[in-house]
Amino acid sequence: MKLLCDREQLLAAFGAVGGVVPARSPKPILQHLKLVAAPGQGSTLMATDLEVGIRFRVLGVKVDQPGSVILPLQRMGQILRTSTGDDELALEVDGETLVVRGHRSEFKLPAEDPELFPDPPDFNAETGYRVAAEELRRAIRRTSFATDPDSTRYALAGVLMEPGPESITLVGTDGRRMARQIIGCEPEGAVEPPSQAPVVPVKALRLIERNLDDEEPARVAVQDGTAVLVKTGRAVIYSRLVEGRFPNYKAVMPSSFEARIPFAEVEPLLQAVEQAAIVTSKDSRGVDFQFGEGLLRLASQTADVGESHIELPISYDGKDVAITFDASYLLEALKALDPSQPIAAELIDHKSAAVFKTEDQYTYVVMPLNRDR
Amino acid sequence: MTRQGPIGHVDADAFYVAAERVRYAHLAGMPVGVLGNQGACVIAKSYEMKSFGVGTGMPIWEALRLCPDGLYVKRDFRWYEILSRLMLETMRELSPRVEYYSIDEFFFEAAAPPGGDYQDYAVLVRDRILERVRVPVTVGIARTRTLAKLISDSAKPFGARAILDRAEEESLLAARPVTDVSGIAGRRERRLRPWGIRSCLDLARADRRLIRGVLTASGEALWWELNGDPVIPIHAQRMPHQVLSRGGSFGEATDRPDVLWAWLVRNLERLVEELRFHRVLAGRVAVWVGYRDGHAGEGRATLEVPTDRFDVLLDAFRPCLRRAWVPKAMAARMHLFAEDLRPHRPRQLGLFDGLGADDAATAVKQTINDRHGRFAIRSAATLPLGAVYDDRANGYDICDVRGKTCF
Repeated sequence: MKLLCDREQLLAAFGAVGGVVPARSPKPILQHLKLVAAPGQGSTLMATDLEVGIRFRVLGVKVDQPGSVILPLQRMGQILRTSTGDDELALEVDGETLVVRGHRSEFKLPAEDPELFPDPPDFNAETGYRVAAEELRRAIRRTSFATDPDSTRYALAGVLMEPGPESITLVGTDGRRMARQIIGCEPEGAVEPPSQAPVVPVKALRLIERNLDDEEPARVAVQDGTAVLVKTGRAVIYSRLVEGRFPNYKAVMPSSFEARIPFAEVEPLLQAVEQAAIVTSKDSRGVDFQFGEGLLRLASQTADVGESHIELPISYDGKDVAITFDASYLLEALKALDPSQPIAAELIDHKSAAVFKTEDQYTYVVMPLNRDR
Repeated sequence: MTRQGPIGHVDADAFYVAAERVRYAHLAGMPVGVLGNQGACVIAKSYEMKSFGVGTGMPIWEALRLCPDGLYVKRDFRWYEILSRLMLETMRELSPRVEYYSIDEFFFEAAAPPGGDYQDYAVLVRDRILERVRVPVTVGIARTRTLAKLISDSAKPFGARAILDRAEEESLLAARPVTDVSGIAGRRERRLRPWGIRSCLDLARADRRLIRGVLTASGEALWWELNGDPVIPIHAQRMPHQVLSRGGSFGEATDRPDVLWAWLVRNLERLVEELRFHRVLAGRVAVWVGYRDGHAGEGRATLEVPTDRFDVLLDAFRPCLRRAWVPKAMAARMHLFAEDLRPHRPRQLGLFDGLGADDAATAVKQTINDRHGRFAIRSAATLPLGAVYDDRANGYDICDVRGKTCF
């Protein structure tokens, strides 16, 4: 195998796939990347930890002799970063040695057998869903933070992707709060909704988010109910699904409310909660919300830390509602939104789930802190 | 801000033996050894038995060789806690602030001695406890708690001594090795040795910055204390727990999954009892299993919402044990941990709390135990531990002694 690679393009590809490589693995080959160079078909850089995998199309590779090579992530990454005087680097496999050459540099690295590398699957699905990249990115950002990697009761270590005829619903929850985003989709082929909606691990979602190309819609396909494949502009991401049962999230979605409080923009509410949370601590995370006529009062108090009292004018003339939230749960959701977009809170009482809704089909359900008992 | 006055330290003399003598008066004056959970080791001994060369932690066969006529009894922590509480009550009559440091040790504020004399105060405390509880104790009073403990250690048994004069303090410190200071042992002692620090007085007279460098801030605190400047306060209220734990040795190692599961359930029942006593909920749990070949396994889980519910915790511990379990290896010890402890109020509510069935079995168990005594009824999963239940001494462990600050 003999190639001439655009250094910056290959370095960018390393950045795109490197996050998949496990820090430690009993299979050393997984701590490397595989580059496959074929004339006319472009070159592909691959990485996998066997749970999540990525195939990334590398630009700027001139193929003299096609073939495959295993590239050690750390050492090759350092070579690419430090060879700033070279626009291009030559890669050549000579027997059991990988030779990397610049104008004034040469590196010889042991070449592993590419056959040992478990290639992540390519996207060959004829049926699936086509989703606008921007919408998918927004949905991932707005839901993945609410998951729980350690849950033992339910499959909460990922985001549920529930496809419908014209939309996909993404849901992330850790059992205390739940983020739901509905995005439009276009079915491809005679796609049948999976018998069990897939739960995609957060690591894969972050990889998908990083590799979305705004110019090209993403294609999503579920494979045998055990894996999901997503094709973006230059990447194909494969991920095994989170095993286990996702809770019946629809059952806990409040169907009515006692008070609806609209906020013209997210930003002032975010600032008020941030201020009130200054005097909370790990042991005392609660911020009291008092919704009254024209005014939201936020208060918190922590022994040895202090108190805070914050006021925020609101457009509300209903009955008074008092409720306590873990401030961090609200802040994480509010920070995932556009600061200038409107949002509305729907409340029942101090012991029931509160719902925050935006006009772009985002719903955030959060359970309060109960001061009873 | 108030300036702290002198501090007293009360330490029971051979407490477990003294406690046995309270209920078995005929043991008085005889060589008595108290044996541990499995009856294999001497965990406490009377001064009479000590004179035969029997030491704490000595195997029973060795102790029998040295003291064949000694009387050996099995420990009963439930009884010892009852006497410990009586001692605490007595102390609270004599001082406005008392710290329950361990089952047989208390620190107390000695700011205003009745009659104005600290030596008389020390004698009064010693004699009042003996009169009320019939347990002999030694009492030390000093300007700091570290000095008070050194004084009581040096005045054993049945001593009562107040030292508030610097010259007297220095003569005491000069006579005691530095390892007598609570918190200086092993590695710390070896770190001090190159600097010629052998006695408590050497440590007190060393450069403060040197001690800070060698022993960090906690060592510097001891330096201040030895020099009569109180920096370690009395904790009349117990510091909030960061972690609660229950577990211990199995006695007989096992590779049977059902027995391991039974131990987990038994330890969880004790852990839930402790969570409820301290009125806290667990946010995370962990199980640790130690194997006879020296290996250990561990499993951790996060709860969706902090809880003290037996059924929910059991569900969380199940996969933890699976991760900690090494098939066919002989497990010898297990510890369960409740971490990320939160107060009951405010309590984070969960979205899916209502989706599971209520834990009716736990409620019934709780009702029966409240009426008929601690663990009168237990989970059926603990049935493989029949041999453990046959010995009533296994029903109460040193960990079950409440309110200590030393653990």
